[in-house]
Amino acid sequence: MSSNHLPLETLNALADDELMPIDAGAVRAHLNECHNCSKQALEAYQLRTAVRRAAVRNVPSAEVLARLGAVTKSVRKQPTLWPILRNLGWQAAAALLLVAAALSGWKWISQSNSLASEVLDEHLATLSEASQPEVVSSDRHTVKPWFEGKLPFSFNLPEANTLPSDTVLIGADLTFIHGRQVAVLRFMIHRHRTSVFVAQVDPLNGLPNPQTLSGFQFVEARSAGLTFLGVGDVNAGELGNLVRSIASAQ
Amino acid sequence: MPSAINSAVLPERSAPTQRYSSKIAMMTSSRSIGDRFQDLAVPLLASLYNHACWLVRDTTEAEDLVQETLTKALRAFESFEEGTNFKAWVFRILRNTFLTSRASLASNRTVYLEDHPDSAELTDPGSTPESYAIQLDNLAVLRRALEDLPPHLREVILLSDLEELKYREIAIVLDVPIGTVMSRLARARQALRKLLQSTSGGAA
Repeated sequence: MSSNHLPLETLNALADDELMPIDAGAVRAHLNECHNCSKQALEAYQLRTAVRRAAVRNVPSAEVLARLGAVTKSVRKQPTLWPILRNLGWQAAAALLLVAAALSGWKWISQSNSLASEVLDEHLATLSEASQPEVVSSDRHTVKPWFEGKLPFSFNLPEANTLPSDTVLIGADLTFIHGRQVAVLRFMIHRHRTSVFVAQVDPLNGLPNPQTLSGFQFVEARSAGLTFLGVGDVNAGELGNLVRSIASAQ
Repeated sequence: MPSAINSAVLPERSAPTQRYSSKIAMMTSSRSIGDRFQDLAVPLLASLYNHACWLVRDTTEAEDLVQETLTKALRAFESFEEGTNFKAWVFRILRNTFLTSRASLASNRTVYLEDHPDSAELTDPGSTPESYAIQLDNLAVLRRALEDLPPHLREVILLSDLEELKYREIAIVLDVPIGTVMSRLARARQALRKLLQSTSGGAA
C-alpha cells in the first residue's frame, strides 16, 4: 500500500460507521479517485456483512434460555462455586467439598455477605492444580508492569528479600469484585497458595479484620488509598505479615 | 487524516454529575433493581451465550460462563451507571469471568490478553478474485476461518461485526484504548481475509 492510500483503520472506520461526517466525506472523496482504496473499503463492508451472518453459530435452546433467564431473576441465589468445582474435575472438587464441609464453612458461602463470597470464590478457583495465574512470575519487575494500563490505580510490590520467610510471589491475576477491577497477587507461603487482593479502598471495604471464614483467614491492611486483603489457609500471623509487607511497600 | 480521524472517533463519556444523577434516578426508581436488571439482561442472553461459545468452544461450559457472568453482573448491578451501555458492561464482565476461568487457562489467556503486533503482522492478501467473494457466501468456510483466527483477533471482530458494538464500547469491554481497538480490528480483518483467500486456493 503506497503512502497515498488510506490506512486500513480508516477504511474499517468507514465501514463501521465510526467516522465523523466531515471525515467520512473526505474519505469518500478519496475513494472516488483511488481504485485500490475503493476496493479495500468494499471488502471491509463485505467482510463485515459476511461475519455478521456466519458468527451466529450457537443459538441457545429454549431450555438453556429458560435456565439463563432464571439466573437474572435470582438475587444472590446462584452460587458461583459449582461451575468452578465441575471444571476442577471430580477428584479436586471432592477434595474441596470435603475441606469446606469439614470446616463447616459451606453454609457461610451461600449466606454471608456477597463480598466475602466473591473473594473466597476467586481464591478457591486458584486451588486447582491446573490453575495458573494469568502472569506467572516470581519477579516483581515482571508482575508490576503487567498491570500497567489494566487498572485505574497502581501499586508497588515489595522486594523479594523483604517478604516474610518462605513466602514467594508466584504470579498475578486480574478479576472483578463487586463489579470493580481488582488486582490479585498470588503467593506461596510454605506450601499454601495465598491470594492478596489489591483494590482502591471502597470495593474491599466491609470485612471484619482479621477474620476466619470457612477455615480461610482474611487479613486486611490499608495504605496509600489502597486496600490489601489477604486470603489463605495459613495462620493469621503469617498472612498478616505478608499483607503488611505489601502495604508498607507503597 | 488518520490521526485526525482517530481523535474524532469518540466523544467523551458522560460527566460525573450526570452519572451521579443517573445513579440517584436508579436508586429512587419505583421498579426493583432485580426487575431492571432483568429488563436489560434478558434481551442479551442469546448474544452472551453465542459469544461465550466462541470463547470456550463448549456449549456446557458456555452456559456455565454466562450463568456466572449474570450472577456477577446482578451482584454488581448497583454499581452500573444507568444510561451508560449495559451491553458493553455485561460483555466486559463476561470477558473477565472467562479470563479467570479454567477454560481460559487452557487457551493460554496471557496471549489472549495481550496484543501481539509482531505475530499478527500480516502481508496484504492482495487482490480479491471471484473465489474470495464466493468464500464470503460460504458459512462453513467463514466459520472455520473465524475459528482459526487468534483469540484476541476473533474477539474484536465478533464484538464489532456481530454484536455491533461501537469502538468506544469495544474499548470498554477489552479495557484497551480506542486506537488499539482500531488497529486490532484492522489486523483481524486482514487475517480473516488472508485465511479465506488461502482456503479459496491462494491469494493473487
